[in-house]
Amino acid sequence: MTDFAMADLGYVSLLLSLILSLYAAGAAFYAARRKRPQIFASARNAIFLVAAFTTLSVGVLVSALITHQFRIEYVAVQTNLAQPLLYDISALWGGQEGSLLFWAWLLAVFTAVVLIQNHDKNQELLPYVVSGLAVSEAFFLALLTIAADPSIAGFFVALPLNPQLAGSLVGNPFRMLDFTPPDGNGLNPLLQNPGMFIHPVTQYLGYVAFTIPFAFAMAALFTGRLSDVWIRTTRRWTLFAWLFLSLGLLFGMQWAYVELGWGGYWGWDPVENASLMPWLTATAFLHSVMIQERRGMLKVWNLVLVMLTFILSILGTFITRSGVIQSVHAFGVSSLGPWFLAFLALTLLSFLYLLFNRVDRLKEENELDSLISRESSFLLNNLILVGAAFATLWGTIFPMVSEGITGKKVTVGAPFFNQVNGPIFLALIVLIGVCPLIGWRRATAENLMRNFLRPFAVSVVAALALIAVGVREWYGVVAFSAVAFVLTTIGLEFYRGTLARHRQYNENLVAAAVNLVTNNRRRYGGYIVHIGVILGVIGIAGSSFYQVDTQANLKPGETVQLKQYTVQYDGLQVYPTASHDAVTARLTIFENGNRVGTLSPEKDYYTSPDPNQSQSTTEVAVRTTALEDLYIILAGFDSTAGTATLKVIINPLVVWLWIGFGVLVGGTLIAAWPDPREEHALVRARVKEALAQA
Amino acid sequence: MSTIVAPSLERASTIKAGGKLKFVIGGLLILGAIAFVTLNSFQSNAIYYLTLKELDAQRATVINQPVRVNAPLDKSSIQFDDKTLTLKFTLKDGDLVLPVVYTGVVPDTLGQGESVVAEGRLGADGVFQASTLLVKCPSKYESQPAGSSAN
Amino acid sequence: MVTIALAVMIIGAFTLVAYPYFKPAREFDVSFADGADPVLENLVVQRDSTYAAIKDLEFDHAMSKLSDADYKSLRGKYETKAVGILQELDGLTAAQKRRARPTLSDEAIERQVQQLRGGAAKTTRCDKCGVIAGARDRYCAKCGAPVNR
Repeated sequence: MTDFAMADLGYVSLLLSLILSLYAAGAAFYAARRKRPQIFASARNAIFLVAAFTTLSVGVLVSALITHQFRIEYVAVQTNLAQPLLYDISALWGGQEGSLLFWAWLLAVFTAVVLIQNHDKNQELLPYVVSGLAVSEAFFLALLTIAADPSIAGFFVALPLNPQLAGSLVGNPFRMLDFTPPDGNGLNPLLQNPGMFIHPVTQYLGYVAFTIPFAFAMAALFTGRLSDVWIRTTRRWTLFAWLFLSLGLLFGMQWAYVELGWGGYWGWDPVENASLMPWLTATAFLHSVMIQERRGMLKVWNLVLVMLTFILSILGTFITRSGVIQSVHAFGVSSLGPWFLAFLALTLLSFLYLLFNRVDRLKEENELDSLISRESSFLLNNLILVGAAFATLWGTIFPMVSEGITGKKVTVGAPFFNQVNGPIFLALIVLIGVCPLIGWRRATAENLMRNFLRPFAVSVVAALALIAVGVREWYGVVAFSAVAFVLTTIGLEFYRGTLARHRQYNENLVAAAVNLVTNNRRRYGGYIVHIGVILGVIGIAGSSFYQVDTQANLKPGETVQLKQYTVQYDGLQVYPTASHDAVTARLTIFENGNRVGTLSPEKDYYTSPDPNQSQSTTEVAVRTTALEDLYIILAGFDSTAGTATLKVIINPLVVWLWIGFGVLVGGTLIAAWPDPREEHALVRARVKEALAQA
Repeated sequence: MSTIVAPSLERASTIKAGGKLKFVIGGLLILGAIAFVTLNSFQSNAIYYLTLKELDAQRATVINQPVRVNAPLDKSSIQFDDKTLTLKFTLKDGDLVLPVVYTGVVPDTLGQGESVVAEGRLGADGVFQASTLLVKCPSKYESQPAGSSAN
Repeated sequence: MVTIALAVMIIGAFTLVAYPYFKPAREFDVSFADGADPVLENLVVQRDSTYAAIKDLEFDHAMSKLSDADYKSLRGKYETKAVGILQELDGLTAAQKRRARPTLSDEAIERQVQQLRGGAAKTTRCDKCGVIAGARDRYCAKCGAPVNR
């Protein structure tokens, strides 16, 4: 196929998808209002077609990227002949147009999955769910097609913007150049890392999947069916989205840790904040829905939380796409900002309108029994999580706000976020520990005393032990004794539950422990997630409180000492590869005088005919143990003299952050695993239907 | 129905009365605390974000105060001492010139940087001591091939 | 070539979207209703959440997070509530049974379910009053005693 044919095929698929999405949005809505099954069937077909056409479009773009159709501008910008095939594929989400297409594609596929999942369920909600999802899909498809065309929409978009941007309206991934470049620019070398495959994909899966619970929430609001049906129906979507938001955070941190070369994994960069905020509100949502399921309370709050999560996800993409906020992640300044703002405003206003119209149906079925109960600890957890999200939001968007109001730009950096979120998260950690100790509904002083005594004793012992081994910083002592407290309470929870089962059902201890978890998947899956979070906290506290570093300019044979490590510099090695020239410092590492291995931090130079496109990347070398990471950066070198300047950092306990995420994933899967009882209910419902028709 | 113990209605009702108020007060206290911490640390950490012109106009007041400066980078001025990891360059906006000194690992993107956001303090000698650098590229992960035009 | 492909895409899409309009409405199994009416659904949700609450109480009591006195008073409260809901539900479903087409008894469905799952039909009866309990019932629908299986 020629490059023109490919571009046409891809672009027309997108245009057709846009038309079909708009049609599906209107048709599904109209069908439900007028109870016209033909029209709804037609809307369903349109949704499946959108999924098929966006898939086709993605397929066309990927094959154009692989076969290097440089006449297509996106291909020329994102790939070149030298880079490995896998980076050609990952270029799908490496640039702005491609990542919007990726988003639209995921959403289209998810919408089709929702239709299939619910083909015999939720018939009252479903048309409105489909309608909402189709509106969202149409928004992204419009960004990919007509928003890019100055003659159609460009006029309106360009007005509030700097006029010179109007010419560079972007969006269409299939835009053609008027000549065929011999080679492309290639993916930015900073993005050429395995993180490129996994971080954006997981992040997007999380962001996009959250559209589904939000669409159900809007449909529930619209139809007034405000029992917890929408929550139960979307429970797995919510967990799926949350899991992938968590994984997005994890892989983003790991990538930053090894690629950006400042020795850390989190810098409170606006885009990092943008991925943290929906995670915080989604976490709050996961907890507060339990109160609605059990007690029929917090109905409005849950709707607000799912809306906030969706809006913050869109805001996250807006921040990344629009270039309005300075960030290491920022894509080029683009004209898409006003579109995103308009979409956000529309979503928020329609949500609020529906909410105020339905407020009479949202009365709570119960009241809280006691101030000290599991319910109120969940409430507290929600306040803290949402508070942290808002503090982060405040620090992130304040530069924009202050400039708009006072004309002066004021910003805050990492110290602000650490100072605010440090205590907030500490409170959250303690709450994770306190929560399982408090029964649902009511706790008495006597019970609290009994349940708190042991964990509290353990945390005091931990604090004394830390002071005894020479930890003097109060924040370290507080953080780690809080961690000890939480781990003890969760451990006790498993221990007591197992014992209770052992006594009650006469099971042996192992069987009792296994059955305890499998029969209470949500509760114990949740506790396992909490263990993961606490392990992560160990890693974060260790590496942020106790990082040490040094730097040295070394001749071959010289060494630099940091704590128990001796780093010996053996010389430089320079070698070319297909895509870049690599400069490596060969190092031998000694721990307490014993040789433990070698490391080779690296600098890679990507040259390009255009000097402005030439770039270097820093590949750090890390030696990980359970206690600490030895992290070495080749910060400078002199190839004629053979000297190198090394920056050596010890990051204590970092590996526990990654392990913690692994445990969190395991716990989430346990909590989300299908319950045979639910399946039984489903079989029952099917049989009932079949028999009724017979 | 023999298993059912008579509910202590009195107790339940005393909990309900005034129950809501307790929760509202508790919630407000917590939100107030979070807001207080946020605003408090905001004030102590807020830094002005200035262009070179603004920095020059307020030169007297900002000396030795933490500020962020955003200005175009004069690429020809970049000097890097690989032994001490000292980076020197100048930011240039029209006639205004600001020499900047930074020590540490140099951001990989500096070579393609169009402008730089430097956080640090302006010394009395007129040299800006930067503690962090953020390099802005015209289009960071996007670049237009020469001679391209929209189709 | 591409022109043909595009034409096929457009015509195909149009056909698929338009096709349902030419079929009579009764051929579609879409009712735009979830079967249960909102009042019933609400009651069922309340019943389930009350059961869950009682289960939680038992669990918390077994884990000694609730004192005996609190456990008794709270349990009583929720059991009273559950009985109220069940009575209301009984009244409601009876009225609905009269309205709707004859539905099958839970026991018949249960036997079908068991057959489908490959097991012999096995019914559980309440120890106290002998009423057949549903497969998922934790408490007897008639007398409220816990169901043993």
